Amino acid sequence: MAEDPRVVFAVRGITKVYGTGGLTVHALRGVDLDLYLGEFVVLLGASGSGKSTLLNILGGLDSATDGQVRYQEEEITTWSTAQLTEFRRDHVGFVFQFYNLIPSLTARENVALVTDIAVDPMSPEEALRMVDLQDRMDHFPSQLSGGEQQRVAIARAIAKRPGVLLCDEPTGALDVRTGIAVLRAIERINQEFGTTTVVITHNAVIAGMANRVIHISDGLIQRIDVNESRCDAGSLKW
Amino acid sequence: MKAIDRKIWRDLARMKGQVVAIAAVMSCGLAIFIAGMTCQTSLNRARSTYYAESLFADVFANVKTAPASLIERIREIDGVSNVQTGIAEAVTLTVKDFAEPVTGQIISLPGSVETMALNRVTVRQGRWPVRGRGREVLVSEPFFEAHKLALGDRIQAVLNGREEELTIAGTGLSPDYIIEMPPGGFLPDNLRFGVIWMPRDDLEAAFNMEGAFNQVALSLGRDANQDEVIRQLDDLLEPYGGLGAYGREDQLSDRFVSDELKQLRVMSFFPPSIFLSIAAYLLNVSLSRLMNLQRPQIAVLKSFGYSTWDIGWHYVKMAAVLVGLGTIGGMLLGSWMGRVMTEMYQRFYRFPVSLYHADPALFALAASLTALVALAGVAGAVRAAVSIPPAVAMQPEPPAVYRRSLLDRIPFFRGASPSLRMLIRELERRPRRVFLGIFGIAFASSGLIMGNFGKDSIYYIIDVQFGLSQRYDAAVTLHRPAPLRVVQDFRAIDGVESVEPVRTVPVKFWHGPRSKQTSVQGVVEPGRFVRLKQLLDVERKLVQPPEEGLLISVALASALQAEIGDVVTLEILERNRPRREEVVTGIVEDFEGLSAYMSLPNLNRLLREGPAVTLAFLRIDQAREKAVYNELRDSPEVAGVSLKRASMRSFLDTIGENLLRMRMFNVIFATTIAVGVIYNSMRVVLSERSRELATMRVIGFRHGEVSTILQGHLAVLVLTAIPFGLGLGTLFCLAIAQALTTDLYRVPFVLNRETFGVAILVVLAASFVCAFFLDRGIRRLDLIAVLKARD
Repeated sequence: MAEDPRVVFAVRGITKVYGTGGLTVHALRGVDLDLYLGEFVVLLGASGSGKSTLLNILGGLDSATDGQVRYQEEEITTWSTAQLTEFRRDHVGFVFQFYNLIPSLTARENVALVTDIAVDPMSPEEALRMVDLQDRMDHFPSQLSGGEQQRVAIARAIAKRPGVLLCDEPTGALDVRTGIAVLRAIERINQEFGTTTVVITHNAVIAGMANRVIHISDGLIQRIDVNESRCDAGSLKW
Repeated sequence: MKAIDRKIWRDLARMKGQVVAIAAVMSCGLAIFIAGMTCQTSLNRARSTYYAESLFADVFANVKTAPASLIERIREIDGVSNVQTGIAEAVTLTVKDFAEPVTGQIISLPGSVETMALNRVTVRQGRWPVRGRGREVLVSEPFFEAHKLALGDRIQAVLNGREEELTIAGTGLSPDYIIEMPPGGFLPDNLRFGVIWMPRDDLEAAFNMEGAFNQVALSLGRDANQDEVIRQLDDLLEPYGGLGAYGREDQLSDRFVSDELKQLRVMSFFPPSIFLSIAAYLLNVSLSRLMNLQRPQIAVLKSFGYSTWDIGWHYVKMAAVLVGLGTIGGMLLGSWMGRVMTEMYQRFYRFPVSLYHADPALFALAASLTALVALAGVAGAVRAAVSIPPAVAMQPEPPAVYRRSLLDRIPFFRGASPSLRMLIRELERRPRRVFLGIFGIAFASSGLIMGNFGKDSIYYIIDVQFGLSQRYDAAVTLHRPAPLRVVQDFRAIDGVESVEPVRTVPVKFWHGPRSKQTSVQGVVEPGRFVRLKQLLDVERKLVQPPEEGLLISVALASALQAEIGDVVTLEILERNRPRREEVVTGIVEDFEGLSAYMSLPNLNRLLREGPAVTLAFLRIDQAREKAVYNELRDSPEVAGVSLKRASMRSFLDTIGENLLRMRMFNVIFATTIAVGVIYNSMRVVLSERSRELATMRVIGFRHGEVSTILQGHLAVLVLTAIPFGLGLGTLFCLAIAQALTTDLYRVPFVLNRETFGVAILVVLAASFVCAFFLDRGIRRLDLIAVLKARD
């Protein structure tokens, strides 16, 4: 196993089988992967390719059927659900396709939800400034556009200063313009804080932003492209 | 089965917990309705059938002794169609293997049932007694059964001071004793009081009443004026010591049945309507939530060409299945409860016809009632959901709208944690639902209070009546007023420690337009005798009948609407019927119904006679109780002896089992409501908030932290509901006490601390059970699926 100190996640031989008996689905069929500190990775694949399963296992939301995942020095595949909760609480920032904000809390309070329980968080205001929402802090989700809601979700994810930011189709429900604003926010976090960032998408254009693009299909990594030069989010078009 | 109908079963199976909870609440409401109505129709039907078959009279009167020749003149009163005279006397009885005092009412019987013009006695076992043949009698069926007697058995009776042996020729029932109340008792006591019928000739001879009667009953023609008949009958009887005629509505046994029917009417209307409203509300909340979840499904169905009507009908059918379950459950439970309760009534109310009658029309009525309630619960939810156009329904529901409220301005709230804010804003956003949820739980708590109210009330009666008021061991009633020297006679019996003489006289009271017929007790002046019956006011303080003036019981005060200081008119229903006005100087806490007390010298002055005794209270050495009783029984003056310990035991025996059963029903129903409301409300909240709760779990909140948000919601509902429920329960009990209080007995409004404690504990226990299921629901949230799906 890699001893490279720059490796944040070391994934070895991960398989995931859903269902039992005759009707089983192999979502992952033995994935090996290292993710490096501060790296921006795009996971590209069709739906059902296994990319979300991989992301969920990395984030401690799902457990692998076989194989090992090391986060820094710890092997998380052996952890209990309680330990995984602590792992998510302290180290992982999640961003989802459908934002999942708490409708009864304002933007600021949605972020405070996380900063209240984190060990060394930034202030909610600071997190919202990072995503350019300093003027909308006291709005409820129902008063925000889809792009704004997603940026609140990003602020919520990064406010705890996570070791890793995991984004599952963050622009999937957005139009181009707002999608780019969201990607800019993610890009900024990655660059300013050096947070290891994994973005799932099936939009190949986004791959241009990444250090590495990992193509997944049928539960296996098909190939990994390394971008010599990354384009910035603002220049993307689709 | 069509595919869309299959969906109904699958959807219902998925929400089975809620389905069971709603159906259970509905079943309870329906069951109470059916049971109450079954008892009511059974009792009503049995009574009218029996009255018609047995030619039950319309007007009744007692008289000291009237000559048989008077019958013709009574018959001539305008409106009278039939007259039946007879003799009725109080007797003391001795039944083998039963050591305690037994009293009875012995009533004359003509030669055959056909010659009974009115109030015909039905022979249940054996045969009509034959006169002169070894003192044959009929005994009342409940008495016969209580003592496990057999035909041909003998019982001892003291008739006019002579001990006689009576032979049981048969058992009987009569319409004037549907319920056999011992004189002065609260409840039937078939071991210690029985009715006995004896051939008239034999009874006349025993009481020296040849050619005379002391009891008369009349039936009236269709257009008769009852008040006028009563007035004329009183005039005819007055010279012979008439004690005041009264109509059927004041006849003791009929009165009890009528009061019971009145209570049943309250019971079959009030609680079921609340139960069914709660069920309708739960149905509405659960279906609204289901249809919200199924917005995309509704849209898809519409895009396939299902009409709005088709979809509306689909959900109505779904509700119908649920309501059907509740209805079937309610009918099964209701007919069982109806049977159990009718059996309970059968022990008090005796009819020669079968009491239980399940009316199919009642079940049809019950079913249409629930259908109506269900429709009310479903209509709004279905209309709202099906009217969404398909394109809109395909869109995810927009985020729920929340806004800042007054609470946000409170400094405490500004510093509150986000989860506390989530909780408070959620409560603020749905005030109607929160209120109804609180009301539902409050109603459950009030049900628990009502369940124990009966017990508290009865223990209070026992405490006051048997503990504080009755300081005697035995009450001895005399056949007729006796000179004061009987006190010395009683005192001389070995074992009697002290005696208090009392004079009772039948009277009629007037106050304004109200009048009541009862009796007044003349109480000896303090100092002359030891007072063995204490009179207590409503604060349980000792009161004395004044030199001049009158003390009246709470029940009489309310019947006459008289207060302290009011002047009431009283007419003595004896001798030349003297009338006098008296001031009410106090109100007495007395559970025996309409009673009144005045000082003995005052009463004697009114009667214009010397001191006389009709009733004596005795304190007896426990060790000599049996001997004292035997000696008293053989005394010619004594009509009956009742031992306090025995009446207390019988009171507890009779009431204990029924009370337990009613409490059990109450507690089961209240718990069902509590669990039904809490579980359903919280299930819906869990479903609505599953997405945010899952999000919180994903971003690192621990299970306990997330669970706390819902438990907090639950706690707010329950903790607000409990005090509200205790208050509501107190009000309900007050209303029940008032509704149940009649001229015959008074139900005191008393609630013990323990009753409140038990109600709180049961509601909390129900909440803990729901909290457990809620917690399990949160544990089972599929974090990934929830986040992947749109709302």
